[in-house]
Amino acid sequence: MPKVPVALIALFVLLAVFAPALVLYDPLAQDAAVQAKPPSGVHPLGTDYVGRDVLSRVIAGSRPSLGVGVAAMTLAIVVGSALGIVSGYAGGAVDLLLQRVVDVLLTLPGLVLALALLAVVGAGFVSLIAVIGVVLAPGIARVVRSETLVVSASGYIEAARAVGARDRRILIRHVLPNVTATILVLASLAIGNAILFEAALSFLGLGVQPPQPSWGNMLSGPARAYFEVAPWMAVFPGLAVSLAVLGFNLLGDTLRDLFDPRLQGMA
Amino acid sequence: MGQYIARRVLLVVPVLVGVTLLAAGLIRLVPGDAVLVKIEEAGHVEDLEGARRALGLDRSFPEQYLSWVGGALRGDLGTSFITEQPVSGQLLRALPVTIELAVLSLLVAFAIGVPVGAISAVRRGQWPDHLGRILSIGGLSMPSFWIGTLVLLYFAIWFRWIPPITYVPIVEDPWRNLQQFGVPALALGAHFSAVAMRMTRSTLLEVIHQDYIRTAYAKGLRERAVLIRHALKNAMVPVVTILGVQFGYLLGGTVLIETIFNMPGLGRLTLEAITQRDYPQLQGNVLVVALMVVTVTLVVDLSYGWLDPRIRRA
Repeated sequence: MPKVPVALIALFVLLAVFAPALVLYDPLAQDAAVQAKPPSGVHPLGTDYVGRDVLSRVIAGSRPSLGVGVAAMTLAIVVGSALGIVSGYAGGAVDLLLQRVVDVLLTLPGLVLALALLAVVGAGFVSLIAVIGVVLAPGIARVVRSETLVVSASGYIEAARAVGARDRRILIRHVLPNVTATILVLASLAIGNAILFEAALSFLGLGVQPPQPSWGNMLSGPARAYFEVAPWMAVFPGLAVSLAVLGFNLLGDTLRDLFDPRLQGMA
Repeated sequence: MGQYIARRVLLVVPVLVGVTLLAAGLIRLVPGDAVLVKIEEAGHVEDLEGARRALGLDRSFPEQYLSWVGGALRGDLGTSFITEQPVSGQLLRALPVTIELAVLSLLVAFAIGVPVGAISAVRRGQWPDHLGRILSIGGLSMPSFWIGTLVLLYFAIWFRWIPPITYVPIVEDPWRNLQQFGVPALALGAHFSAVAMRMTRSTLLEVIHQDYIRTAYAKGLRERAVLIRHALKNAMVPVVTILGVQFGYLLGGTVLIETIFNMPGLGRLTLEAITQRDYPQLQGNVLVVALMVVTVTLVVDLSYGWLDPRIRRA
């Protein structure tokens, strides 16, 4: 089972890293001679309504998707884990306050929150990363907090405190290593979610802006009028999103089984 | 039970305060007064000072916040920049569409997710389980707007079905209304069924190993009776709760599905408010979406406490 997610992830990472060398055609180059042509030897995934090569655009689209996915995940994991660990370890008023903030952010549907924030900061690559990071962080903080609560109540933390260790040392040397497994699982699932958010926001016109191809924006705009005569234009970008996200979701599941044998095959 | 209800309802207060602060503060977060300049450029607001006053931007944030919340409590959420209609009126027109779509999608999700999840748990480790798990993790990995797009596309190619242009309320013509909502609900529900499937499978796996299930088998009940009457019934409580918690996620999906299927619901209204920089409408929508999520979560929590006495004592 771990072979499938690793292979999928490796495939998309290689595509993203070597995209400029791998594309068969310029992903932006229009060709009036081959508008909306079905898959063939010359254009393996067909062409779109202005004659751009779909395969080249799918390959080029892996860059914003994985780029935003990894960057937004990193932001969400750093912020979310820090808040979760502090909240769970400190307890009291700090915990109460931080958890109410998390409550508020979790009340709004992720997509609605992302849209509202993008309305304020404006579309763009950096705002996309920041907004998706902010949307994903509260969920991570919630899970890391509950793990921290369990860890903080255990004997070795009490022992560390008894021998006079400072909070800082306990947090970094004892709490963090024991919640790392959870954070790794969350990170894997967060990349998948970030890729889905990027695709959805680009689809809605607030993410990666055309003509730059992204898996989400290839499915929106004027292209939609041509899907009925050229379904491959609709099928392949979505398939790319699904396979990339599937890779990270499967990895997350595998990691969870690995780190927590009790959950083996449970979820 | 009374104490449990009171405690749970009290928890709602800080969330509502936070959400209203967020909604009222959104417009303050926009750098400078760029927002108003943009609105003016769009040519919809002639009276810039009037627009500033209407948004409360000429006053301090606490004053602006209190007057907005005060208005909201009276049902007055201001006037849309674009349509120049009351925000609350637009919301009331959009709300039934989104609620119906969400409810139908939940039904679809349960109808697919619960049986498949149950079979998966009972036949754990065998081929139906592998198939079920592949379906569910695959479903979770597919963007709902892609499923929606493909459903729309292939219904058009195979059945010549296109979404109706005008919305028909269910009270007017239930049959035509269902024709309108059926396909979008199928698209959104199919995506959401993956969640239901995973929840059903994992909770049923926990329940199956309980003593009372062994007892039920021991007294000679057939597998079917044990599973449906004893196991599934107990497993459904957490499934319903978690689906309630995921209600917000479902509402997020309605933004995409309403856009694709051209439905005049809350999601599409929110997206339009954002692309047209219609801030009063956006504030109102954020508030209403949050209220819906808070209400559903509260109802689910309270019913969970009612179903499972251990919860309210915890």
